Amino acid sequence: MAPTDNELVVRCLQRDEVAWQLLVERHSRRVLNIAYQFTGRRDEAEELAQEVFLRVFRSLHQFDLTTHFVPWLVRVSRNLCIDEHRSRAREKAALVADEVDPERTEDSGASPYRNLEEKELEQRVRRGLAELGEELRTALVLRDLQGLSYSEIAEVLHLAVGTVKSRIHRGRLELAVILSKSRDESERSWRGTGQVEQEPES
Amino acid sequence: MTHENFEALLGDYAEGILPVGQMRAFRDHLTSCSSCAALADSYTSALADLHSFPRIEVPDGFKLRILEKTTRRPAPWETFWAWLGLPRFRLTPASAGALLSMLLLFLAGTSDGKRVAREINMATHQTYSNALRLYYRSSDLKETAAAMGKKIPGRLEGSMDWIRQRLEKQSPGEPRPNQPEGSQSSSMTPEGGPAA
Repeated sequence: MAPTDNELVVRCLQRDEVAWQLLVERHSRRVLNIAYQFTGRRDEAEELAQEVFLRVFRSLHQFDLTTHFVPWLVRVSRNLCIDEHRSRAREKAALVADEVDPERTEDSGASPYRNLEEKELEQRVRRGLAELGEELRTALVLRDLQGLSYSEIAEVLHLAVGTVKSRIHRGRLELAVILSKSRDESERSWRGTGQVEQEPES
Repeated sequence: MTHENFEALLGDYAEGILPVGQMRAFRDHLTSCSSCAALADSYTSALADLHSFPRIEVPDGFKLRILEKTTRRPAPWETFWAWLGLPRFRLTPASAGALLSMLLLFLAGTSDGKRVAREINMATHQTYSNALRLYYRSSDLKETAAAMGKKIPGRLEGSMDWIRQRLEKQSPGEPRPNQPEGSQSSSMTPEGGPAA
């Protein structure tokens, strides 16, 4: 049976390098994607994620073994990302940035049409999230982008599970309205473009 | 079921965790209320959009870089430096020069050190003057070659060999090569390369 995160932390504190390797192995994707949501760029996200692991490694002794590791890791990651970006405004700015990481689209190996679709989806969701209030956005990002459970989110944000559920639900409802509007607008503009192109033929 | 009840259960429905007991009433309302059906539709598609938001994969070597950064054993001098409580520093060319100067000053203060310092000083001067001579010779030779309609070989290695050969041949009393001489032209190949 695989050791739990907390067992690995105990072993790390006893200077067991294998345990630390396992922790890095388990959580690097999560940390990398948290950083990516802040930076919007892969190269910057990699650098930031490395800094996160460095901070985690140095502050493992501060981790309360009676709690869960993932919420603590997410909290440390988010705090460092916020510190590095000086303010939450940068997170919002990264969310609305039109620029999509060129490396991601280059190495995806998908067709250009698929890449375009993904790019549009990413931009639409980023803009939608940026329109939400900070409380709702944070809860929604933790749940639906970072895949944390309700109880883990409650630990990260120091809130009751009921409050977390309510915020996520309200966030999704607001986002549904925003995305539905933006989808309608893009469909209208697409139809408009199509009509303009067809005019010379008729 | 009211619209408010429907909206409250929508999250659980979209996540597939709505209890069976409430599912029937929820579905009945979904089929009978067009506004709630539209809401459910936009809610589930927003959730789908969020879930298909692109994630980046961990690149090759990423974990290794983290392990290198976190578990690398410090060199003995780094440990000693940290034990002294001094901040980490990187040796820049300027700080390396400053350290060397301090070493020379220290050596100059001892009897044996004076000799060593003098030798180091002379070697440094010799290297510096050789480099200067080589530099000026190369530009002089270029001018001479250009005046004679010849070309100095384009490749760096060829040019350096050619310059070295010229320097070896030339005695200290000889005139500078910017004064055209018959002997110089004979040492050039027609292509402008060094004489075989």
